[in-house]
Amino acid sequence: MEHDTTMRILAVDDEPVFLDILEQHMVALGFTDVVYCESAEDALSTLDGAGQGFDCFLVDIKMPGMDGIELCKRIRRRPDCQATPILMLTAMSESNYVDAAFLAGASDYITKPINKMELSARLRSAGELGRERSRVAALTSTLKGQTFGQSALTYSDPVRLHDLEGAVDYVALKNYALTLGNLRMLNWQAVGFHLTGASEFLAATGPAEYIEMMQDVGSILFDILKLGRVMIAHAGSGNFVALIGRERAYDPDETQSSVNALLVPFNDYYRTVCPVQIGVIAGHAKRSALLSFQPADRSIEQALSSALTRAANAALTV
Amino acid sequence: MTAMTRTQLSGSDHLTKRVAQVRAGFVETLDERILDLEGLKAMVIKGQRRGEALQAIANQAHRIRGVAGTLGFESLGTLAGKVDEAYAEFCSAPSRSHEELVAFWRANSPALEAMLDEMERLMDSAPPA
Repeated sequence: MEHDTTMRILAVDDEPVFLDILEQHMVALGFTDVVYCESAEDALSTLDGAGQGFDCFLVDIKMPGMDGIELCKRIRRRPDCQATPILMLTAMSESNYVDAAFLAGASDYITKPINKMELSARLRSAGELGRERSRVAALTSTLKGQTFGQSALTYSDPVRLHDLEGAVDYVALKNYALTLGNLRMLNWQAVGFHLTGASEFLAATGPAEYIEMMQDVGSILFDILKLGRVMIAHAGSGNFVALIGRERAYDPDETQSSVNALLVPFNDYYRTVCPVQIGVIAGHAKRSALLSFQPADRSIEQALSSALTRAANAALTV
Repeated sequence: MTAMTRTQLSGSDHLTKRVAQVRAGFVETLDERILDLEGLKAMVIKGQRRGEALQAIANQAHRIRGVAGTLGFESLGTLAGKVDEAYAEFCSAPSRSHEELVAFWRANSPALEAMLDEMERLMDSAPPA
Protein backbone atom coordinates (compact mmCIF):
# COMPACT_ATOMS: atom_id res chain seq x y z
CA MET A 1 0.00 0.00 0.00
CA GLU A 2 1.23 3.52 -0.84
CA HIS A 3 1.84 6.17 1.77
CA ASP A 4 -0.58 8.94 2.37
CA THR A 5 2.08 11.52 1.64
CA THR A 6 -0.39 14.34 2.15
CA MET A 7 -0.13 13.79 5.91
CA ARG A 8 0.87 16.94 7.76
CA ILE A 9 3.52 15.97 10.29
CA LEU A 10 5.15 17.72 13.25
CA ALA A 11 8.58 16.33 14.20
CA VAL A 12 10.31 17.31 17.45
CA ASP A 13 13.91 16.51 18.39
CA ASP A 14 16.52 18.61 20.18
CA GLU A 15 19.35 17.34 17.95
CA PRO A 16 19.53 19.40 14.73
CA VAL A 17 21.60 16.72 12.98
CA PHE A 18 18.85 14.19 13.66
CA LEU A 19 16.23 16.55 12.25
CA ASP A 20 18.44 16.94 9.17
CA ILE A 21 18.57 13.16 8.67
CA LEU A 22 14.87 12.86 9.31
CA GLU A 23 14.12 15.55 6.76
CA GLN A 24 16.11 13.69 4.11
CA HIS A 25 14.22 10.48 4.83
CA MET A 26 10.88 12.28 4.79
CA VAL A 27 11.64 13.93 1.47
CA ALA A 28 12.74 10.58 0.04
CA LEU A 29 9.47 9.01 1.23
CA GLY A 30 7.46 11.81 -0.40
CA PHE A 31 6.34 13.69 2.71
CA THR A 32 6.58 17.39 2.02
CA ASP A 33 4.30 18.91 4.64
CA VAL A 34 6.53 18.43 7.68
CA VAL A 35 7.29 21.00 10.37
CA TYR A 36 10.49 20.45 12.38
CA CYS A 37 10.91 21.78 15.93
CA GLU A 38 13.98 21.61 18.18
CA SER A 39 12.13 21.64 21.52
CA ALA A 40 8.85 20.66 23.11
CA GLU A 41 8.15 24.31 23.89
CA ASP A 42 8.67 25.22 20.24
CA ALA A 43 6.33 22.39 19.21
CA LEU A 44 3.57 23.63 21.53
CA SER A 45 3.93 27.18 20.18
CA THR A 46 3.74 25.79 16.66
CA LEU A 47 0.57 23.90 17.58
CA ASP A 48 -0.95 27.03 19.13
CA GLY A 49 -0.17 29.07 16.06
CA ALA A 50 -1.06 26.49 13.45
CA GLY A 51 -4.26 27.23 11.64
CA GLN A 52 -4.28 23.75 10.22
CA GLY A 53 -3.93 20.69 12.46
CA PHE A 54 -1.40 17.90 12.17
CA ASP A 55 -2.07 14.30 11.12
CA CYS A 56 0.89 12.76 12.92
CA PHE A 57 3.56 13.66 15.49
CA LEU A 58 7.12 12.34 15.75
CA VAL A 59 8.42 13.14 19.23
CA ASP A 60 11.86 12.53 20.73
CA ILE A 61 11.59 11.32 24.33
CA LYS A 62 14.69 12.75 25.91
CA MET A 63 14.97 16.48 25.46
CA PRO A 64 16.24 19.22 27.76
CA GLY A 65 13.48 21.28 29.37
CA MET A 66 10.14 19.65 28.72
CA ASP A 67 10.74 16.05 27.68
CA GLY A 68 8.85 14.09 25.04
CA ILE A 69 6.63 12.29 27.53
CA GLU A 70 5.31 15.56 28.95
CA LEU A 71 4.89 16.90 25.41
CA CYS A 72 2.93 13.77 24.50
CA LYS A 73 0.57 14.38 27.45
CA ARG A 74 0.13 18.05 26.48
CA ILE A 75 -0.62 17.12 22.87
CA ARG A 76 -3.20 14.55 23.99
CA ARG A 77 -4.95 17.16 26.15
CA ARG A 78 -5.70 19.21 23.06
CA PRO A 79 -9.19 18.34 21.77
CA ASP A 80 -8.00 18.46 18.16
CA CYS A 81 -5.14 15.99 18.84
CA GLN A 82 -6.79 13.26 20.89
CA ALA A 83 -6.94 10.90 17.94
CA THR A 84 -3.72 11.91 16.19
CA PRO A 85 -1.00 9.23 16.10
CA ILE A 86 2.08 10.11 18.16
CA LEU A 87 5.23 8.15 17.31
CA MET A 88 7.92 8.39 19.96
CA LEU A 89 11.53 8.57 18.82
CA THR A 90 14.34 7.51 21.07
CA ALA A 91 17.62 5.76 21.47
CA MET A 92 16.43 4.71 24.89
CA SER A 93 15.48 1.11 25.37
CA GLU A 94 14.62 1.20 29.06
CA SER A 95 11.17 -0.10 29.73
CA ASN A 96 10.26 2.70 32.13
CA TYR A 97 10.50 5.20 29.27
CA VAL A 98 8.45 2.93 27.02
CA ASP A 99 5.77 2.46 29.71
CA ALA A 100 5.59 6.18 30.43
CA ALA A 101 5.37 7.05 26.73
CA PHE A 102 2.48 4.70 26.01
CA LEU A 103 0.63 5.72 29.18
CA ALA A 104 1.07 9.35 28.12
CA GLY A 105 -0.81 8.53 24.92
CA ALA A 106 1.89 7.47 22.45
CA SER A 107 0.70 5.30 19.59
CA ASP A 108 3.98 3.74 18.57
CA TYR A 109 7.71 3.83 19.10
CA ILE A 110 10.64 4.20 16.71
CA THR A 111 14.09 3.31 17.98
CA LYS A 112 17.10 5.33 16.88
CA PRO A 113 19.12 4.97 14.79
CA ILE A 114 16.24 5.19 12.35
CA ASN A 115 16.25 3.59 8.96
CA LYS A 116 14.11 4.50 5.98
CA MET A 117 12.31 1.14 5.79
CA GLU A 118 11.20 1.20 9.41
CA LEU A 119 10.21 4.86 9.25
CA SER A 120 8.22 4.14 6.12
CA ALA A 121 6.37 1.21 7.72
CA ARG A 122 5.58 3.13 10.90
CA LEU A 123 4.32 6.17 9.02
CA ARG A 124 2.11 3.99 6.87
CA SER A 125 0.62 2.40 10.01
CA ALA A 126 0.24 5.84 11.56
CA GLY A 127 -1.67 7.05 8.52
CA GLU A 128 -4.06 4.11 8.70
CA LEU A 129 -4.39 4.45 12.46
CA GLY A 130 -5.07 8.18 12.18
CA ARG A 131 -7.89 7.70 9.72
CA GLU A 132 -9.49 4.95 11.81
CA ARG A 133 -9.05 6.86 15.06
CA SER A 134 -10.53 10.02 13.61
CA ARG A 135 -13.58 8.07 12.57
CA VAL A 136 -14.01 6.41 15.96
CA ALA A 137 -13.11 9.60 17.86
CA ALA A 138 -15.79 11.50 15.95
CA LEU A 139 -18.29 8.91 17.10
CA THR A 140 -16.96 8.75 20.64
CA SER A 141 -17.23 12.52 20.94
CA THR A 142 -20.97 12.05 21.35
CA LEU A 143 -20.16 11.44 25.01
CA LYS A 144 -19.25 15.08 25.27
CA GLY A 145 -22.63 16.19 24.05
CA GLN A 146 -21.89 16.61 20.39
CA THR A 147 -24.49 15.45 17.95
CA PHE A 148 -24.31 12.95 15.17
CA GLY A 149 -26.71 11.13 12.96
CA GLN A 150 -27.14 7.40 12.69
CA SER A 151 -23.43 6.80 12.77
CA ALA A 152 -21.28 4.13 11.21
CA LEU A 153 -20.00 2.84 14.58
CA THR A 154 -19.98 -0.91 14.36
CA TYR A 155 -19.70 -3.59 16.99
CA SER A 156 -16.16 -4.41 15.89
CA ASP A 157 -14.89 -0.82 16.39
CA PRO A 158 -12.63 -0.28 19.40
CA VAL A 159 -13.96 2.51 21.61
CA ARG A 160 -11.55 5.04 23.10
CA LEU A 161 -11.80 5.09 26.89
CA HIS A 162 -11.74 8.72 28.03
CA ASP A 163 -10.38 10.02 31.31
CA LEU A 164 -9.28 6.62 32.54
CA GLU A 165 -5.75 6.39 33.88
CA GLY A 166 -4.03 3.40 32.30
CA ALA A 167 -6.36 3.33 29.30
CA VAL A 168 -4.72 3.21 25.90
CA ASP A 169 -5.94 2.48 22.41
CA TYR A 170 -5.96 -1.16 21.38
CA VAL A 171 -3.46 -0.59 18.58
CA ALA A 172 -1.17 1.29 20.98
CA LEU A 173 -1.38 -1.60 23.46
CA LYS A 174 -0.27 -4.04 20.77
CA ASN A 175 2.48 -1.68 19.65
CA TYR A 176 3.60 -1.44 23.25
CA ALA A 177 3.94 -5.24 23.44
CA LEU A 178 5.85 -5.33 20.16
CA THR A 179 8.15 -2.57 21.40
CA LEU A 180 8.92 -4.48 24.58
CA GLY A 181 9.58 -7.75 22.75
CA ASN A 182 9.15 -11.19 24.26
CA LEU A 183 11.85 -10.72 26.90
CA ARG A 184 10.41 -7.63 28.54
CA MET A 185 6.83 -8.79 27.97
CA LEU A 186 7.70 -11.45 30.55
CA ASN A 187 7.02 -8.72 33.13
CA TRP A 188 3.39 -8.62 32.08
CA GLN A 189 0.46 -10.99 31.78
CA ALA A 190 -2.36 -10.32 29.37
CA VAL A 191 -5.96 -10.86 30.41
CA GLY A 192 -8.99 -10.67 28.14
CA PHE A 193 -12.63 -9.97 28.90
CA HIS A 194 -15.70 -10.52 26.78
CA LEU A 195 -18.95 -8.70 27.33
CA THR A 196 -22.10 -10.70 26.81
CA GLY A 197 -25.07 -8.76 25.56
CA ALA A 198 -22.96 -5.94 24.08
CA SER A 199 -23.99 -6.41 20.45
CA GLU A 200 -27.66 -6.53 21.44
CA PHE A 201 -27.11 -3.40 23.53
CA LEU A 202 -25.65 -1.54 20.55
CA ALA A 203 -28.50 -2.64 18.32
CA ALA A 204 -31.12 -1.65 20.89
CA THR A 205 -29.69 1.66 22.06
CA GLY A 206 -27.37 3.07 19.40
CA PRO A 207 -23.76 4.26 19.58
CA ALA A 208 -24.05 6.95 22.27
CA GLU A 209 -25.41 4.63 24.98
CA TYR A 210 -23.12 1.84 23.79
CA ILE A 211 -20.00 4.00 24.12
CA GLU A 212 -21.10 5.12 27.57
CA MET A 213 -21.70 1.51 28.63
CA MET A 214 -18.20 0.55 27.40
CA GLN A 215 -16.80 3.42 29.41
CA ASP A 216 -18.61 2.13 32.52
CA VAL A 217 -17.32 -1.40 32.04
CA GLY A 218 -13.79 -0.15 31.31
CA SER A 219 -13.84 1.85 34.57
CA ILE A 220 -15.02 -1.19 36.55
CA LEU A 221 -12.34 -3.41 35.05
CA PHE A 222 -9.73 -0.78 35.79
CA ASP A 223 -10.91 -0.50 39.42
CA ILE A 224 -10.67 -4.25 39.87
CA LEU A 225 -7.26 -4.55 38.22
CA LYS A 226 -5.61 -1.36 39.43
CA LEU A 227 -3.95 -2.79 42.55
CA GLY A 228 -0.77 -3.15 40.53
CA ARG A 229 0.50 -1.97 37.17
CA VAL A 230 -2.24 -2.00 34.56
CA MET A 231 -2.83 -0.91 30.97
CA ILE A 232 -6.27 -1.48 29.51
CA ALA A 233 -7.86 -1.13 26.07
CA HIS A 234 -11.19 -1.81 24.44
CA ALA A 235 -10.48 -4.13 21.53
CA GLY A 236 -13.82 -3.92 19.75
CA SER A 237 -16.48 -6.64 19.41
CA GLY A 238 -17.34 -6.48 23.10
CA ASN A 239 -13.80 -7.33 24.18
CA PHE A 240 -11.40 -5.67 26.57
CA VAL A 241 -7.81 -6.59 27.11
CA ALA A 242 -5.51 -5.58 29.93
CA LEU A 243 -1.85 -5.99 30.73
CA ILE A 244 -1.22 -6.50 34.43
CA GLY A 245 2.06 -7.04 36.27
CA ARG A 246 3.36 -10.58 36.14
CA GLU A 247 3.76 -10.59 39.93
CA ARG A 248 0.04 -10.06 40.37
CA ALA A 249 -2.11 -13.05 41.41
CA TYR A 250 -5.01 -13.31 38.98
CA ASP A 251 -7.93 -15.69 39.08
CA PRO A 252 -10.42 -15.40 36.20
CA ASP A 253 -13.41 -16.71 38.17
CA GLU A 254 -12.79 -14.41 41.10
CA THR A 255 -12.21 -11.41 38.83
CA GLN A 256 -15.31 -12.21 36.82
CA SER A 257 -17.46 -12.38 39.98
CA SER A 258 -16.10 -9.09 41.27
CA VAL A 259 -16.67 -7.29 37.97
CA ASN A 260 -20.19 -8.64 37.57
CA ALA A 261 -21.05 -7.70 41.15
CA LEU A 262 -20.00 -4.12 40.45
CA LEU A 263 -22.03 -4.19 37.23
CA VAL A 264 -25.33 -4.90 39.06
CA PRO A 265 -26.40 -1.27 39.63
CA PHE A 266 -25.35 -0.40 36.08
CA ASN A 267 -27.46 -3.25 34.74
CA ASP A 268 -30.44 -1.85 36.65
CA TYR A 269 -30.04 1.28 34.56
CA TYR A 270 -29.18 -0.53 31.31
CA ARG A 271 -32.39 -2.55 31.59
CA THR A 272 -34.36 0.68 31.16
CA VAL A 273 -32.93 1.03 27.65
CA CYS A 274 -32.20 -2.58 26.67
CA PRO A 275 -33.74 -5.83 27.89
CA VAL A 276 -30.48 -7.79 27.59
CA GLN A 277 -28.27 -7.91 30.65
CA ILE A 278 -24.58 -7.04 30.28
CA GLY A 279 -22.19 -9.61 31.74
CA VAL A 280 -18.43 -9.97 31.76
CA ILE A 281 -16.55 -13.20 31.08
CA ALA A 282 -12.91 -13.15 32.17
CA GLY A 283 -10.34 -15.23 30.31
CA HIS A 284 -7.22 -16.91 31.64
CA ALA A 285 -4.03 -14.87 31.94
CA LYS A 286 -1.56 -15.36 29.09
CA ARG A 287 2.15 -14.73 29.17
CA SER A 288 4.84 -14.40 26.55
CA ALA A 289 7.37 -17.18 26.23
CA LEU A 290 11.00 -16.11 26.33
CA LEU A 291 12.18 -18.49 23.65
CA SER A 292 9.28 -17.89 21.33
CA PHE A 293 9.28 -17.07 17.65
CA GLN A 294 5.79 -15.64 18.03
CA PRO A 295 5.41 -11.86 17.96
CA ALA A 296 5.35 -10.26 21.41
CA ASP A 297 1.71 -9.21 21.06
CA ARG A 298 0.67 -12.85 20.72
CA SER A 299 -0.22 -13.08 24.42
CA ILE A 300 -2.78 -10.28 23.90
CA GLU A 301 -4.49 -12.24 21.15
CA GLN A 302 -4.34 -15.41 23.24
CA ALA A 303 -5.92 -13.59 26.19
CA LEU A 304 -8.81 -12.45 23.99
CA SER A 305 -9.23 -15.97 22.61
CA SER A 306 -9.34 -17.35 26.12
CA ALA A 307 -12.12 -14.93 27.10
CA LEU A 308 -14.08 -15.81 23.95
CA THR A 309 -13.65 -19.55 24.57
CA ARG A 310 -14.87 -19.20 28.14
CA ALA A 311 -17.79 -17.09 26.90
CA ALA A 312 -18.71 -19.79 24.36
CA ASN A 313 -18.46 -22.51 27.03
CA ALA A 314 -20.58 -20.45 29.41
CA ALA A 315 -23.22 -20.02 26.70
CA LEU A 316 -23.32 -23.78 26.17
CA THR A 317 -23.90 -24.49 29.85
CA VAL A 318 -26.78 -22.03 30.17
CA MET B 1 14.34 -1.35 -15.94
CA THR B 2 10.87 0.00 -15.23
CA ALA B 3 10.13 3.66 -14.75
CA MET B 4 9.20 2.98 -11.15
CA THR B 5 12.52 1.32 -10.42
CA ARG B 6 14.34 4.21 -12.05
CA THR B 7 12.43 6.67 -9.90
CA GLN B 8 13.20 4.70 -6.77
CA LEU B 9 16.87 4.53 -7.64
CA SER B 10 17.03 8.18 -8.37
CA GLY B 11 15.28 8.96 -5.05
CA SER B 12 17.67 6.64 -3.30
CA ASP B 13 20.67 8.29 -4.98
CA HIS B 14 19.43 11.65 -3.87
CA LEU B 15 19.02 10.38 -0.32
CA THR B 16 22.49 8.89 -0.31
CA LYS B 17 23.93 12.20 -1.49
CA ARG B 18 22.02 14.21 1.11
CA VAL B 19 22.88 11.79 3.92
CA ALA B 20 26.53 12.16 2.90
CA GLN B 21 26.15 15.91 3.32
CA VAL B 22 24.51 15.53 6.72
CA ARG B 23 27.23 13.04 7.65
CA ALA B 24 29.96 15.53 6.77
CA GLY B 25 28.08 18.21 8.68
CA PHE B 26 27.91 15.94 11.72
CA VAL B 27 31.67 15.29 11.62
CA GLU B 28 32.17 19.05 11.57
CA THR B 29 30.20 19.30 14.83
CA LEU B 30 32.42 16.76 16.56
CA ASP B 31 35.08 19.33 17.41
CA GLU B 32 32.62 21.39 19.41
CA ARG B 33 31.10 18.30 21.02
CA ILE B 34 34.53 17.07 22.09
CA LEU B 35 35.34 20.46 23.65
CA ASP B 36 32.02 20.37 25.45
CA LEU B 37 32.64 16.84 26.77
CA GLU B 38 36.21 17.66 27.80
CA GLY B 39 34.89 20.64 29.74
CA LEU B 40 32.32 18.46 31.49
CA LYS B 41 34.98 15.84 32.22
CA ALA B 42 37.14 18.52 33.85
CA MET B 43 34.18 19.59 36.01
CA VAL B 44 33.75 16.02 37.27
CA ILE B 45 37.46 15.65 38.00
CA LYS B 46 37.62 19.01 39.82
CA GLY B 47 34.44 18.24 41.75
CA GLN B 48 32.52 21.21 40.28
CA ARG B 49 28.76 20.56 40.01
CA ARG B 50 29.52 16.90 39.40
CA GLY B 51 25.94 15.68 39.21
CA GLU B 52 25.06 18.31 36.63
CA ALA B 53 28.20 17.52 34.61
CA LEU B 54 27.50 13.78 34.57
CA GLN B 55 23.93 14.40 33.44
CA ALA B 56 25.19 16.70 30.67
CA ILE B 57 27.64 13.99 29.55
CA ALA B 58 24.74 11.49 29.44
CA ASN B 59 22.64 13.95 27.41
CA GLN B 60 25.42 14.61 24.90
CA ALA B 61 26.11 10.87 24.53
CA HIS B 62 22.39 10.27 24.04
CA ARG B 63 22.25 12.81 21.21
CA ILE B 64 25.32 11.33 19.53
CA ARG B 65 23.91 7.83 19.89
CA GLY B 66 20.68 8.92 18.21
CA VAL B 67 22.38 10.08 15.03
CA ALA B 68 25.70 8.24 14.71
CA GLY B 69 24.26 4.87 13.73
CA THR B 70 21.92 6.37 11.14
CA LEU B 71 24.87 8.16 9.54
CA GLY B 72 26.91 4.97 9.32
CA PHE B 73 29.13 5.62 12.36
CA GLU B 74 28.10 2.38 14.05
CA SER B 75 31.15 2.19 16.28
CA LEU B 76 30.59 5.70 17.64
CA GLY B 77 26.89 4.92 18.07
CA THR B 78 27.71 1.83 20.14
CA LEU B 79 30.26 3.65 22.31
CA ALA B 80 27.87 6.57 22.84
CA GLY B 81 25.13 4.10 23.77
CA LYS B 82 27.32 2.64 26.52
CA VAL B 83 28.02 6.09 27.95
CA ASP B 84 24.38 7.12 27.62
CA GLU B 85 23.07 4.08 29.49
CA ALA B 86 25.69 3.99 32.25
CA TYR B 87 25.68 7.72 32.99
CA ALA B 88 21.91 8.14 32.70
CA GLU B 89 21.33 5.25 35.09
CA PHE B 90 23.79 6.66 37.60
CA CYS B 91 22.15 10.08 37.38
CA SER B 92 18.67 8.66 37.82
CA ALA B 93 19.24 8.03 41.54
CA PRO B 94 18.00 10.89 43.75
CA SER B 95 21.39 11.26 45.44
CA ARG B 96 24.81 9.64 45.40
CA SER B 97 27.54 9.61 48.02
CA HIS B 98 31.03 10.88 47.27
CA GLU B 99 32.33 7.29 47.42
CA GLU B 100 29.74 6.10 44.93
CA LEU B 101 30.65 8.94 42.60
CA VAL B 102 34.35 8.16 42.76
CA ALA B 103 33.70 4.47 42.13
CA PHE B 104 31.40 5.28 39.22
CA TRP B 105 33.93 7.59 37.64
CA ARG B 106 36.71 5.03 38.02
CA ALA B 107 34.56 2.36 36.37
CA ASN B 108 32.97 4.48 33.66
CA SER B 109 35.43 7.19 32.62
CA PRO B 110 37.11 4.68 30.24
CA ALA B 111 33.84 4.42 28.30
CA LEU B 112 33.78 8.20 27.92
CA GLU B 113 37.44 8.19 26.84
CA ALA B 114 36.71 5.50 24.25
CA MET B 115 33.87 7.58 22.84
CA LEU B 116 36.06 10.71 22.74
CA ASP B 117 38.85 8.75 21.02
CA GLU B 118 36.43 7.52 18.37
CA MET B 119 35.13 11.05 17.81
CA GLU B 120 38.69 12.28 17.33
CA ARG B 121 39.46 9.41 14.98
CA LEU B 122 36.44 10.29 12.83
CA MET B 123 37.49 13.92 12.72
CA ASP B 124 41.03 12.99 11.73
CA SER B 125 39.90 10.60 9.03
CA ALA B 126 37.43 13.05 7.48
CA PRO B 127 38.48 14.37 4.07
CA PRO B 128 39.52 18.03 4.16
CA ALA B 129 36.65 20.42 3.47
